Amino acid sequence: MLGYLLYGFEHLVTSWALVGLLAGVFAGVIIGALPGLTATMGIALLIPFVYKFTPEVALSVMVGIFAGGIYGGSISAILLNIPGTPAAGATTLDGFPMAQSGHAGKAIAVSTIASALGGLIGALILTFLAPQIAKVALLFGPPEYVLLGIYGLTMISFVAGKSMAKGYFMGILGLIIATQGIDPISGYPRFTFGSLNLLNGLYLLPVLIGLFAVSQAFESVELWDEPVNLQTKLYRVGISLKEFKTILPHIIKSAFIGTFIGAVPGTGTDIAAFLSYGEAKRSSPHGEKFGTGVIEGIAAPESGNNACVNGAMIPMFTLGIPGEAATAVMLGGLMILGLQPGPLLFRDNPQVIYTVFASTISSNIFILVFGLMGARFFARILNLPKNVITTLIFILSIIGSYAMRNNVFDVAVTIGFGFVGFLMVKAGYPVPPMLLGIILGPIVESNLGRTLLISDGDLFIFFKRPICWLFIILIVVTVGTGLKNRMKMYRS
Amino acid sequence: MIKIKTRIFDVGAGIIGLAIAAYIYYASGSFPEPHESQLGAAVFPRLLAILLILFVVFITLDNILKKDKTVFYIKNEMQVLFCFIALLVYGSIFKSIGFLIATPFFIAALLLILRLKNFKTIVVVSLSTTILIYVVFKMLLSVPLPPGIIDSIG
Repeated sequence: MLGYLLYGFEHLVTSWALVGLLAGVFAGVIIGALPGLTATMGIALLIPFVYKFTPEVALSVMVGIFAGGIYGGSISAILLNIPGTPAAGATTLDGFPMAQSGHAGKAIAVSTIASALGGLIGALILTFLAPQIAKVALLFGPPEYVLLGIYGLTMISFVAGKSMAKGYFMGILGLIIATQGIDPISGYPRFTFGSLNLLNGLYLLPVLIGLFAVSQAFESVELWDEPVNLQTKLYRVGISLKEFKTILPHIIKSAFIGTFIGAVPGTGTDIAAFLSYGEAKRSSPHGEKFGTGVIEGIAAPESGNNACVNGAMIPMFTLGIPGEAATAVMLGGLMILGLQPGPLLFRDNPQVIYTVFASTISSNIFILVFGLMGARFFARILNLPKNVITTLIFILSIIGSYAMRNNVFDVAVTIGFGFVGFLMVKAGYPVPPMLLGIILGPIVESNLGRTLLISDGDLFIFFKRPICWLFIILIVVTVGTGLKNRMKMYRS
Repeated sequence: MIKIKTRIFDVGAGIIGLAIAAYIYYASGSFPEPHESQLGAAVFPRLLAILLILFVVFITLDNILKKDKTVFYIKNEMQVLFCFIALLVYGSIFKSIGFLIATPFFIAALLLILRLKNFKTIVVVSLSTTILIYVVFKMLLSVPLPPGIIDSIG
């Protein structure tokens, strides 16, 4: 494995992947820093422009945007008290008070160092743990894949937001959308309305851009007149050795918390950040000062959320299951690049996967460099006029959806899904479950077809295989936990 | 600002959900019968249609039991609507007219919708953004941007 990893690093530095990663982290920090733009949207928006590159380069760009975006969110959290991404929500608690007391530079330095170190620990865990999980996953046959797909769909319980029923409603709509086009088993065209454009079903990319970029741009239009007031100036960006020693234990602990949270499908960077913050507050000798502007209150969530980025990639790469929105979009990106996510990726494309691992490790160095040296530049970006940024997102969405197939139908799909997605989100219908349905639907259906063929139509095959039992237990536990949480919420 | 009752929106979404489920049942009636041990083209979509109906019922019951009175707002609704229309127009004509001609007008329209009033700024932003995107995507990344009527003139 070390040989593959060394090859990954060699390939990273000798190919365009390093440039892609650098550009990805840079763009990610900007996207993350701008309130209203998320890493998820950034990845969705850039897929059509990187799909022509080799998979290593394209994936390095995506990894860079994801890691940079989650870090970038802390810049606006500290300077504006507005988390640039949901993951930076916990960072506002101590980051903004610290900035108000004139220590914005120190707050950004703490966030940068914690993000880079937390991300590095998470990336190392990803690199060494993922291949072991993939080895087990290589034993999967069609019945295991059916249950794996269903297990992935149960993650809707956790990404659904306020209403689980609305989440599943959207997930089923996604599954229905995925049935459009030629049936994988019989070859019969389904629900195509006689249109050639629908013969292979809706193309994933325009749907993805519509749901995650255009809908968010509509939200920016809706809030275009909300004032953004950047008052804080950055003076000295850095911390002392004593301060570094104070935050280091919190960074390490939060990195493990974040990676674990990320590896559990259905969680996310925001949860990892808040849990890390909570644990740091609990274990700190001066926990009562948290919330007034202490450096540990910035270090813990920032380490946790960037470690979570890497943890979230564990189930995505090894099992092909997206745990949350950004990895769902990345998974879509993998498929658009012609790669089959899951254990086969490790067997068939080790050079790609280990270059990506090298990218996840290296991205943290770029975060450190950009964060410490470019903080003033990124702070200035917060002053960019909102209407120009929104306009840019609309244009990139349109040309992105058009670029892959030169088809105006795809543009219409993007606009349609963007507008409907915007309305659905307003009414409490989350969009990530729809993407989960679109991605996992074909896996479940085609493998169910194969399972029935190999078992002569016997559905009890699911109860005759040990790995299937593991998934059945996981599905029951996941749905049960989701329902229990909802009941608690309902009662309170 | 438009105020919408979540309950009303849910009823609308539910009706659309039921219509989709009904269409799936109707359309899948003409799918070929599967051979022995085959899943069949109609089985999975029909299963999904049933699940969709179940969740529509669940959302409706939830609304009735909770006596849901929540509302949500769409602020600046005219701007949102005009942006949607501008997107539709741009999306439908940018291939035939061409990226370089359609895009500055689209950017200018969006900036006007978003109440940017300075004419000079609108012109500068529209033209510079179009050229920047063209250089980055067409020239550096080789993304195919439609030439439109410029091509026929050339």
